[in-house]
Amino acid sequence: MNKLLKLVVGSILASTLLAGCSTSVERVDAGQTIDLSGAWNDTDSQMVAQEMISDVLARPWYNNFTAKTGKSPAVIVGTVRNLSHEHINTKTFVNEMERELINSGRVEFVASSDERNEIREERIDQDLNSTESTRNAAGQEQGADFILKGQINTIIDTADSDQVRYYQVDLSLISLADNRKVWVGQKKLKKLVSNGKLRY
Amino acid sequence: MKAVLTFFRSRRYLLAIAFSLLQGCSLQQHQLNDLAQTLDNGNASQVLNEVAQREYPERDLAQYKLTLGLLRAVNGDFAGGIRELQAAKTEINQLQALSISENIGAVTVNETLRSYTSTASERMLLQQLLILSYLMEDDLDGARVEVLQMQELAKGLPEEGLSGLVSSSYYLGGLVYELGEEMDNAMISYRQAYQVMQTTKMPIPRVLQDSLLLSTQQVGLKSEHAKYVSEFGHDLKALDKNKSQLVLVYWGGVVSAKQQRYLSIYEPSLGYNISLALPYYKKEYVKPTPWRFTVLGKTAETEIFDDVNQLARADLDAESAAIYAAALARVIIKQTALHEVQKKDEDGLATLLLNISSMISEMADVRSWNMLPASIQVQRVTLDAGTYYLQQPSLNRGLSVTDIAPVVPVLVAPELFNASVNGEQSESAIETDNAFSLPPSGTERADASLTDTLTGEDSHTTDVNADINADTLVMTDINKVPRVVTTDPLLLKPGKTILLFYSSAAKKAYYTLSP
Repeated sequence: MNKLLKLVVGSILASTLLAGCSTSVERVDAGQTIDLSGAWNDTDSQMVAQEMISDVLARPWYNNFTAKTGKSPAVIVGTVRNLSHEHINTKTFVNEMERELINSGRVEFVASSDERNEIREERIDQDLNSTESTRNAAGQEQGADFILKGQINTIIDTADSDQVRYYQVDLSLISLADNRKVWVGQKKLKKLVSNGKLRY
Repeated sequence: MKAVLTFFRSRRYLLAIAFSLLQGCSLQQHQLNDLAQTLDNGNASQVLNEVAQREYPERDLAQYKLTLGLLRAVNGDFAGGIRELQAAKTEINQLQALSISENIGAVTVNETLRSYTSTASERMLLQQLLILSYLMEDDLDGARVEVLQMQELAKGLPEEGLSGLVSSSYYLGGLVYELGEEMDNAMISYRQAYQVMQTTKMPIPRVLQDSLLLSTQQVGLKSEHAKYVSEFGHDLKALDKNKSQLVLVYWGGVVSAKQQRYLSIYEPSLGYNISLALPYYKKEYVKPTPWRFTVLGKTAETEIFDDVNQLARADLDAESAAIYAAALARVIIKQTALHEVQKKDEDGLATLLLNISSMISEMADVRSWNMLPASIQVQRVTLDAGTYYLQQPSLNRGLSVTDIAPVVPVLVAPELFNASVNGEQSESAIETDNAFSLPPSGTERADASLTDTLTGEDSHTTDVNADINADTLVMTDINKVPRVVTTDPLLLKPGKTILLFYSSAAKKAYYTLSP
């Protein structure tokens, strides 16, 4: 009987104590891989962006364009749609790709449409308020030669507490002059997520 | 006296106190049930304020977040609703693993010691509310994520019974795909909604029939299309690309609350009580009826997709085997404990107190997402592309969609009232039966206010005026005074579909301004 009572009271106390565990914070390197839930995370975003941009810059379209025009191509990153099972912040993924493209030094990079609108407003403001020597005229923007677009898809397979998450990122580089797809890239990730069957 | 002192020295009173504290769980649920009644009367903002200030046990986190998320959404705070509902979903997912301590608590004390993990139908309705909320936030991709998650969730539903068979969630899934111009996926979702309704033996609503006919036609599934034509007894032509569609999702009423059936029998041969508490739903409840609204002066009715009361009962049926097993184990353990105490208890006090504690602690888990609607209904209306206005329901009028801008005298705006009606001006104002007419000197200020309102810079004026009813308009000479449009225009573009979400709990319809 005493054992039974101890077990009951003990389990209630243990539950209360566990609920009251304090928060702990540990600083880790931004490049360190930490998988908690198995969902798409910063490591996936960085890895896919790096690999896909390396691939796009190594393909023939680049040399073909520079040989034909004698200049580096101007690229803009368009929409990357999230068609996956998770709420993925595609903006961080797009930013990763922009960073990789700019830092490669091999392409010119044009501001996105949101950024362009803000810059145009600033130019209008300059028109009204800046001195003539510092004023930037409208109509001098550099147009992009190519737009990079894509989507993230997933396939989930679940059995009991195990789950296989398959991510497929498809990107394509499209010529704005004639809508030709000059490069199509694909990166696949597969994760096996095993969830615990028991908890306290 | 000696026996009492012995009892206190033995610290058994701690056990009695712990058991008594457990009564708080039951009280919490009763208070939530009272609030659900208030919600049923259409006081969603009042209920939200009360729930947001409530404290809750950690094990009820999922239930609390579900309730708060729903209340935020029906009050129009869809972003806040998404935040709470996602937190609820994360909590529910984390609780899917079997808890050792909670199971011990459930078979030794009562079921309320388990963390609240929600039922299958509640999880499907959580997905539905998230889909609606993301659509209202103009985030189609976000809504699509929730549709995919809903479909994954559906794979784990019980194979038998009606638990989790929420046809409207599938229908909304189809709508999301349709909005994203993925007709093949839309058709699959509509087909799933149809299959669910066949299983639940609900009549197939005309709106679903039409979606099945159109999607199979568009995807080119001729034999399936012919099957539906034969079954439904009609066919449809493809939609005119110059027309627009309005889809109204109606959440009506509030689902009934779980009750407790408590049984306690004194067994003379044993010398103590045998107690048992089990949850149940009343068999009788108000069956859903179609909801009426007006479109361009004509009455339209929604069609019933889900009877949530029926789903709640099906969920309880699906869980009943586990509940009965735990209850039986609990009875055995409690009786064994009493028997053991009785053997060493000379004066019978310890047995008496443990018997009382055992009776008090025995309670059914009556927790549920009790603020869900009682029914979910849908209607689709095809309209010419153009500008429309939504008039929210009032005491004497239901929800209506019109093509005439509802206008009111601008004078009712408080800032304008304070600014323009003073001193000599107020004396020159002419009082009518229903409103003031504006003296000429205030016209200029009123025009400025009108411009602000129409450009969206002063939403306050619009809100204040929203309650003015049509009678006021008719009886006021609106030709002589500046007017404001009391609602944002509902712009229907050719070939586009707009979703309206109406909850009877808030008595208000919502739609996204930039579909």
